[in-house]
Amino acid sequence: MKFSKSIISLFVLTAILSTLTIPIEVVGEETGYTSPTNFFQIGGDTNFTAYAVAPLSWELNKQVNLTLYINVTVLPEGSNMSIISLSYRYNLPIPPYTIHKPTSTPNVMVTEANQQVVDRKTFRAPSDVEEFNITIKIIANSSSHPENQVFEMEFPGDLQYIEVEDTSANPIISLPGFPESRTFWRWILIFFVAMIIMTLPASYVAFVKIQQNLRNRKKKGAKKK
Amino acid sequence: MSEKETTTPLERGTRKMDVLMRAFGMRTRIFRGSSRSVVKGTRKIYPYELNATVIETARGVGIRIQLEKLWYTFLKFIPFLILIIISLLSYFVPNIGDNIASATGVNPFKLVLGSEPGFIGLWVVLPILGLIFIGVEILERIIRARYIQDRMPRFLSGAEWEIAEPPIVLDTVSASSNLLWFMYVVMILIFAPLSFSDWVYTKFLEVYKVESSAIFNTTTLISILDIAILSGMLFSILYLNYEKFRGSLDRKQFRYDVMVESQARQMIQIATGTSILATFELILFYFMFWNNITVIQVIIFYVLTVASSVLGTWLFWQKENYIFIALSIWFFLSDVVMIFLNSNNPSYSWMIICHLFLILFIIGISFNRYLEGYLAKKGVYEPSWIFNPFPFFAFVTLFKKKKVRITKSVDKELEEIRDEEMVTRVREREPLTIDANKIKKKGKGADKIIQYYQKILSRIVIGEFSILSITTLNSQILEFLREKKELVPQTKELFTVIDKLLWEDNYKLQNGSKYVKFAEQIYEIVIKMR
Repeated sequence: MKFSKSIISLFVLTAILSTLTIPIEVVGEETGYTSPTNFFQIGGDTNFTAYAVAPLSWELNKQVNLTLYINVTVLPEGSNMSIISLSYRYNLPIPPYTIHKPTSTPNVMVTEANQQVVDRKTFRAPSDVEEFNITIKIIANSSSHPENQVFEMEFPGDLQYIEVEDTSANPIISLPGFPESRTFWRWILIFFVAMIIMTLPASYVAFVKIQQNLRNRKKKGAKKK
Repeated sequence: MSEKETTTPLERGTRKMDVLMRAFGMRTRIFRGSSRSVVKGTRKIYPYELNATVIETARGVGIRIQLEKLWYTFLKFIPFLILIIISLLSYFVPNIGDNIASATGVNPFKLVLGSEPGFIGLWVVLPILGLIFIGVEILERIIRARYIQDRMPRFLSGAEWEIAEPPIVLDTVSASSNLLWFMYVVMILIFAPLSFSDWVYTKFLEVYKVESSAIFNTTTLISILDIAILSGMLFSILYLNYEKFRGSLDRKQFRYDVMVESQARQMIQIATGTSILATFELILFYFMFWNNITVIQVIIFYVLTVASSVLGTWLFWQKENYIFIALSIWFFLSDVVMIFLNSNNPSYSWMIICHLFLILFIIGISFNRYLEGYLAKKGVYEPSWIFNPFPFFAFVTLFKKKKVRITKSVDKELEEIRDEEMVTRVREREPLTIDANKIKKKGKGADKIIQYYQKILSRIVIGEFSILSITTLNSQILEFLREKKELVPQTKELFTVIDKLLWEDNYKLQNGSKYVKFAEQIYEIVIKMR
């Protein structure tokens, strides 16, 4: 018995150690190519620059981080500038030519010059293409020009394309996690209620058996006395 | 037992009634009076009573069979009624559901009825299903009562008797009522997250990155497979448990069912039974959860239900537990397959999680089998209660401490009664009667031979004759034929044939007409002599 227990514990230990030693892919790393800085102007008095940072070769089925930096360079005193929305679009050489990614609405208001707005996004490379680029659309306005204005920039700007690396080891299994807690605890509650109701017969028998055993034990004790 | 000479006909009748009812698989209680007594028999768990009133009259003992507490059967309608009420509420005052949903995130109406229920269909289907289940059970009770009533006079008079059971299809349908509700609970579990209110549901979709319609279609497909396999396998458990009990009751069937034949019969009966159950499920769930089911899915559902019931039967023959193991394996393997499918189509995500918990559910259910054994010890044979979502009556019956007689030792008591009757019959020296129909069946002309034999005997002997003296009578007849010696060997042959006709059960008469002619010839000779 002792031997088998030690073997089991050895297995458990190796399993734990192996999970620790296997390198875990870190998603949040921030290295890559920096695109040339684009200069934009709202009205005549508000200037800002924007550039994006992301790797130039994206692996298929892996998450890639793209960070957009917006620097407000000139802002008249007393006025402000707000970024209404940021949207990203893949441009592909083959149909469907464009893929729209979800738009984010940061609604950031900048009141002083030389402030920086950072937008971090994770993307996946489009499948079935070897190269593509990204168009970033910034919608912004300022207090002196309250109408929304659209500005566009490209990533990777001066180079033509981002390369897509098709690694041979594609993940085949995609394990979904549990639903987020809002859904999950509600469902688990329903599940346990159903489980309790459906196993009532079994619990009844268990209850009766335990009761009988107790009674028998009492009887035995009385006899001994 | 034969020493008890003081028993009255009423007591004897009551005791026989008690034994007969127990032979029908009932638990009995006896209430004795001076001129009448009542035997109450309960077949199933809840009050399913058959009362036999035994009355002593001037002409002997009379018996009246009554169905008691018939209204309890109508309690089966309660779940249907609850669903009808909920659907009515949800149709006319949907605000209640919405208000609860905004507070808790769960709309109870949608949870119970599905996200887009077909109300008019539900209002038609629910009462019909309820009435089918009630009608079937009442029919079963009436048939069983009639069987007992019909057999009682023969049994009381000590004639040969046997018991018979109502058609098994009635048992199958009443078994499917509990399974139907079990499947309904599983369906609620599967479809619950899809019925949560929007502020919960959108987040759920966001996490899995799927569209609502995609996850709904996939969940429907997987739930069809699940329900088909679950109901097929669990049905085979129920059916074969009924069959086990019936086999021990219906001894005639038990004796003559050759192994291979009985297997084929069971398979066919199970396949038809599961088709009935599948139809019930399809009709009910179509108006609740399976709104967009396609024809191909319906066909898959039927085929899979029947196939899994046949597989379940085979597993049951090996060991009953294997069915639960097989179900767990199905949930696990389908989970693995879905994990692979999920890489291209994230709509499987929910069913992967759900299956993990359904494995737990199956393990929990498998413990319910212990109730069945426990009930059998108490003399209740009702396997369908192990899948009952609301086993109220089971608990009430088990808690009540009544002194009941169960079927366990009924064979022994039956033998005792037979022995007693043999003893009294011999003492009373009743005339021995041999069934003419029995002799008729033994071959062509058999009855005529015996008639001639009777006539010959009546010519020779005046008054009664007994079994022991038949050989002497035969030798007397041979003496009559002393002058015609050529007839003697043939006469001896005739006597052996007659002997066999009278006493041998399995004897088959051949060349009947030849012996008839010869018997006639002897009769004519005897007439001339006397």
